[in-house]
Amino acid sequence: MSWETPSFVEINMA
Amino acid sequence: MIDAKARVRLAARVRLRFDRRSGKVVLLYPERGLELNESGARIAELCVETRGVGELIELVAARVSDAPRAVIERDVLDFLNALDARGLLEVTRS
Repeated sequence: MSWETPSFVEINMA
Repeated sequence: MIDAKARVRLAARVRLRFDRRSGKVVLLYPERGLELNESGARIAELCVETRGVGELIELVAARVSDAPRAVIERDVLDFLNALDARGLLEVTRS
């Protein structure tokens, strides 16, 4: 797989 | 700080799920959640069971063809520390 910096987006459990 | 000698797993209150609506993997915990990108999802999947961070880095790097291992190691450690800062990991430091 190609590499992308691991990241996340916070979600409001809206 | 988590380093390559630590062992990690997702905390008991955390669930890893696939959200069909967004097509993304999410980490769910009480009242909140994190939507992960592909690399983040791969790392989180490897944290479902207790695993050494060094081994985790090797497993991730084995499937990546377009980035130096040093970059992958730094990114994985940064990501794990971000999860740990939110209390989402159980960490055993050696």
